[in-house]
Amino acid sequence: MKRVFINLKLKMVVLALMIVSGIRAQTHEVSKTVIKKFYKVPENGKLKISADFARIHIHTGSGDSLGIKITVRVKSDKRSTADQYLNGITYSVKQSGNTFYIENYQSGSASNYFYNIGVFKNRYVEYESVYEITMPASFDLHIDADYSVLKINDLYGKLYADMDYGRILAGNLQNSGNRIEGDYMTRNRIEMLRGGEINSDFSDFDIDLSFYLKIQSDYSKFHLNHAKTVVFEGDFSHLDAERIKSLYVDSDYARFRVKRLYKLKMQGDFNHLTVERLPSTAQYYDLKGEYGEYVIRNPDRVSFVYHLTGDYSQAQIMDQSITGERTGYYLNNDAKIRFRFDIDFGKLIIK
Amino acid sequence: MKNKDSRYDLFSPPEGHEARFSMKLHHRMQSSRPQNLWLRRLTAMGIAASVLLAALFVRWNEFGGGDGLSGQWTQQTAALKQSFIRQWERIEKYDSPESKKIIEDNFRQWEKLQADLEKLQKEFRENNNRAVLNAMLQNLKMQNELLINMHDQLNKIEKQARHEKSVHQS
Repeated sequence: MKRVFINLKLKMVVLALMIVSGIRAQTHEVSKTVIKKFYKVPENGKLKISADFARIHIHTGSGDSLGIKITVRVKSDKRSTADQYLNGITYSVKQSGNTFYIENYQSGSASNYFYNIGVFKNRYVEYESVYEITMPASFDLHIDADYSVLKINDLYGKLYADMDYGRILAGNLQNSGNRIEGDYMTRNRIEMLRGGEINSDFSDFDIDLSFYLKIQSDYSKFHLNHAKTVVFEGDFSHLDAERIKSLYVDSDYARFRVKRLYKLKMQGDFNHLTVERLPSTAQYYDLKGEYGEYVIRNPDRVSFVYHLTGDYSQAQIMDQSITGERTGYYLNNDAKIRFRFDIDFGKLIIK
Repeated sequence: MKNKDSRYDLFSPPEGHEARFSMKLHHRMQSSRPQNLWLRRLTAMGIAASVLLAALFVRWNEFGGGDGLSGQWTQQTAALKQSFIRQWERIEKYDSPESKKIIEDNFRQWEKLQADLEKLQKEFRENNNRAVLNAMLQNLKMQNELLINMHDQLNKIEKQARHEKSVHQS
C-alpha cells in the first residue's frame, strides 16, 4: 500500500514537473494522401479550389486531363493531436458541367473536451495540405485559400485568387482579366501578369512584366520591371519600377520611384515621386496635389515646356529656383515633353 | 519583579512515574498510529495535488487562460498595444491641420490593423495553427512600420512649415 502510494505521488510530481517545464518528448509528423484522381477535361474548363493552409502546386500544359493529388501533413508535439487534425479534415472533388471544385471541411477538435477547454492545448500545430495538380493551361483558376502558397507555371485562363496571408509564385499569367485579392500577401512573385487587378492591402509583389495593371492596395509594396500601363490607387503604398510607359495615380501618401517614365497623370496628397532618368521620348507629366515631393532627374538631353501653379511650393527647374505661377521651357531642340504641375505646399525638382 | 525560583518544578514526582508514563505513551501510539498515517497520506496527496493544480494553473496561464495563445504572447501583445497607444498619445502634439489629416488617415489604417489582429487571435484560438501566429507577427510589424512612417511624415511636414515660416519672415 505504502509503495503504491509513493509511486502515485512520484507520478503526480513528475507529471506536474513535465507540465510546468513544458517538456515534450518530440515533434510528431503525420501525413497521408487523401485524394488521387484523374479526369478527362474539356479545354475551356474551370477549377475552383477552396483551401486554407495549403501548398498548391499547379503544373499546366497542353493536355486534356486534370490530375489531383492531395496530401495532408500535420506536425504537432502530440501524436494524438496530429492524428486528430489529420482525421478531422475531409476533402472532396466535385464536377458541375465544365467546372471542378476541390473543397475541404475541417471538423476541428470538437470531440475532445480537454482540447476545447484549452488546458492540454499544444504549443503549436503545423498543418498543411499539399495539392499537386496538373491541368490544361487554358483552364480558368479560382482559388480561395488563406495562409496558402500558390505555385503555378503558365496560365492562359483567368486567375482569380483570394488569399489572405498567402503567397503567389507564378510564371506567365497570359490572361488580361486576372484578379488577385487578399491582404497581407507577402513575397509574391509573378513573371508576367498580362493584365489584371491587384487588391491586396499590406502586401508586396514583384512583377517582371505587365501590360495593364490596376493596383488598389493600401500599405503595399510593388516592384515592377517593365509595365505598359499602371493604374495606381493605393494609399500609403510604394511602387518601384524600372520602366513604365503610362502611370495613372490617384493615391495619398504613396511613394514612387521609376527609372524611366513616359506618361504620368498623378493626383493626391503627400505623394513622393522620383523619376531617375527622364526619357527624351516621354510625352507628358501632369501632377496635382498638396504636400507632394517630386524629383525628376537627368533631363539633360530632353526638351520640355512646363506650367507651374499652386501655393507655397518650392521649385527648382534646371538651375532656376521658381516660386509662384510660372510657364517656361527648357529646350535642347523642339519641345517635346509637357509638364503641368499644380502643387500646393509641395517641392519640385527637375534637375 | 517575579521570583525566578517559582518558575522551576523543585518537587520530585511520585513513585512509579516512569512506568506509568511509558505505558501511557505506548497506549497513545497504538491508538493514534493509523489515524496519523492517513493524515500524513492525505497531507502528502494534498501537497502533490496542489503541485499538480499549481502546475495546471501555470500551464493554463501560459496558454493565456485557455484561449490557445501563450501567456507570454498575450502579455507581449498587450504591452505592445499599450506602447502603440502611448505613441498615439504622444502624436497629439502635432496639431497643425495637415498633421491632423496625416494622423487621422494613419489612425484609420492602424484601426484596420488592430481589427485584423483581433480576428487573427480569434482564428488562432479556433485552429491553433502556427501560420496564424506568423500572420499576427506580421500584423504587429506593420503596425510598428505605420507608426514610424507617420512620425517621418509629421517631422517632414513640421520641418517644411518651419522653413516656410522663416522664408516669409525674411
